[in-house]
Amino acid sequence: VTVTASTTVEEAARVVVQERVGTLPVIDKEGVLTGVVRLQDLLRIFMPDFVALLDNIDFVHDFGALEQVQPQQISDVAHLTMTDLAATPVAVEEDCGLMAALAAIVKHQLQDLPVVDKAGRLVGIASRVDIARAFFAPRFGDGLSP
Amino acid sequence: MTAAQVVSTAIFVVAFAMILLGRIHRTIVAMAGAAVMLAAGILMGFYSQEQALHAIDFNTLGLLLGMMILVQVLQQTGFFQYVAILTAKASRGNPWFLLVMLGTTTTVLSLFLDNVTTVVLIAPVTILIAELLGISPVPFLIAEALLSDTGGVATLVGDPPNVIIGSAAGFTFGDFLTHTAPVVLVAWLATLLLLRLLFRSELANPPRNIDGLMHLDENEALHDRASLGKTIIVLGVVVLLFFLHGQLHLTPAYIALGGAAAALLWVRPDVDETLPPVEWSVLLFFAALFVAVGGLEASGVLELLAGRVVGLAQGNLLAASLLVLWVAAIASAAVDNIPFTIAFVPVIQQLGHLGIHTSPLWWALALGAGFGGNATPIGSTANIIVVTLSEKTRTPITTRIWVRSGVPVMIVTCIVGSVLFALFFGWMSTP
Repeated sequence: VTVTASTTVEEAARVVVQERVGTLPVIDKEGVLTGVVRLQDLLRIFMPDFVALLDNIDFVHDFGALEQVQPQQISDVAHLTMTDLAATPVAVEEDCGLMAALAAIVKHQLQDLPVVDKAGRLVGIASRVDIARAFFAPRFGDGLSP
Repeated sequence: MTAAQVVSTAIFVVAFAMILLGRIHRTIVAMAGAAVMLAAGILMGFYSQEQALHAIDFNTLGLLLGMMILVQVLQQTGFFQYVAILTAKASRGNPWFLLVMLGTTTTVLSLFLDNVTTVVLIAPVTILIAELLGISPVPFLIAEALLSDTGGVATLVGDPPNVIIGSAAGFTFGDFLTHTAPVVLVAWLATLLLLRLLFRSELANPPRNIDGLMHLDENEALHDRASLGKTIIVLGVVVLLFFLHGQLHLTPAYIALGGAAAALLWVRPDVDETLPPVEWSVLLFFAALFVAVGGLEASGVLELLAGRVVGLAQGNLLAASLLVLWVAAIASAAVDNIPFTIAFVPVIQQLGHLGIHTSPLWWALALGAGFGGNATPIGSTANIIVVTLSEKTRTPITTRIWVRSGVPVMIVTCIVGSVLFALFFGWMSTP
C-alpha cells in the first residue's frame, strides 16, 4: 500500500480505514521511496493545539467541545497533501542485516520499516513485529516446535 | 560635535537600527555593537574598559536574574497551571468572566514575577481552556498580554523598564507603589473595559461545552506540593523585603539573588533543569546594550543631547514630563521598550547633572515605556511571546489583529496616565 506526494489527507485517511495500515510510504513515478507518512503524523493534524503546547496534559480528562470534531476543522486539513506531512524516510536495503533493521526501528521508534533496492525503489515493508519475530525465534524458539 | 561623538553616535545608531530590523538576533547585534563601541573608544581614547564595566547596571541584571531563577523553581511545581485552572473554573465558562479572571490572574502574578515567564506559562493553559470550551483563544491571549503589560508598570519588579528606571533613579519598591500604582489601577480598569468593548462580538459567542473546563482538576496539575510551599514562603519573604528595601538599605538585586539562593538551597531542584531556561540571552542583551550606551555617555553625546532639551525642562517641567511620556510611549510601540529605556535613562541622568529636578521625568518615562509597549506585537517581550505562541496554533495573531486592540489600549492608557500625571504633578515631583 503506497501513496504519492499529491495524495490528500482525506485520501490517505481512507487508505488507513480500508487497508488497516499504520505507515504510508510515499513513492514517485519510478517507485522510488521519497517519504514516509506515519499514522501519528496523520493524527497529529487533528489534535487540539494545546496538546503540542503543554508538557503535561494528564490533568485533562474531559475534552469538552473537542470531542466533536467540527466540520470546519476537517475541511481545513482535508486539502493538505502528503508533501506537507511526509518525513524524510528511514529505510533499509534488501540485503541489510537483522541487527541493522532492529536498530533502525528502535532508534527511530518505527512501527514499520520500508525496504528499498539499490536504486531506492520500494520493494516491501517489514513491520516491527516481523523483525522482532525474526530476531527472537532462532534464539528463544518459535513456540511451535517442542 | 567631536570626532568621538560622531563615531559613537554612528555605532549606536547602526546597532539600534539593526535591533529594530530584527534580521539578526538582538543579543548578537548588541554584543557586536558593544565590542565595536569599546574598540572605537580605546582607539580614540574616549571610552575605557573600566568605564565599560561600570556602565553595566548590575543591580538591574541581578534583580532580573534572581527573579528568573525563582520563577523557574516555582514553575516546576505546576503552580501556574494550577492558578490558571482554578481561576478559569470560577468563571463557569462565561467568556467575559473568563477574560476578567485570566487577565487578573496574569496581572497579579506579573506584578511580582517576571512578566514574560508568567505569560509563557499561562498562555498554553489559556489555549487549552478556550479549546475545551470551543471558543477562540485570541481575545484571551491578547488581554493577558495587554493587562499584564499595563499592570506591570505598578511595581519596581513588574516590568524590566521599571527595574532599570528604579535602579538608575534610586526609587524604591514603595516609591513605585505610591506613584505609578494608583495611575496603573485606573489605566488597568480602563483597559479591561476597553477590551470588553473591542472584543464584544467574540465574547458574545457562548461556549459549546463547559463540562471540559469544569472537569479539569487543578490539583492534578500541581506535581510538587512540598516544593511549592517552600517556594511560596521564599517568594513571600522576597516580596516583603522589596517593600522594606529602602529602609533596610538592601538593593533589590541582593534581595532577588538572595531569595534565589534560598529557594535553590531549600527546594534542591535539578540545577540542569532549573538554570538553562533562565533567559540568559535577555540578560546578555541588557549588559551589552549598557556597554554600548556607556560609550555614548563617555563621548559626551548624551550631555550634548541633554543640553539641547534642558531649556524646555527649565521652562515647563510638566510639559517636558508629558513630552517624555508620549515620546517614550510612541518609541516603545515601535521598538521593544527595554532598549529604548536603557538608551533614554542616561539622558535624564544628564539633565539631573544640569540642575533639573528629574523625579517627574522618571515617572513619566516609566508610564510611557510601560503603556506604549501595548500598541504593537513587538512593543514588549510579553507581546512577542504571545504572538509567537499563537503562530503555532490554528488561530495565529497577526500584527493587524494585535494593533486593532493594542493601539486603542495604548492611547487610552496614555491619556489616563497624562491626565492623572498633570492633576497630581506635585506628588509626581517627589520623592
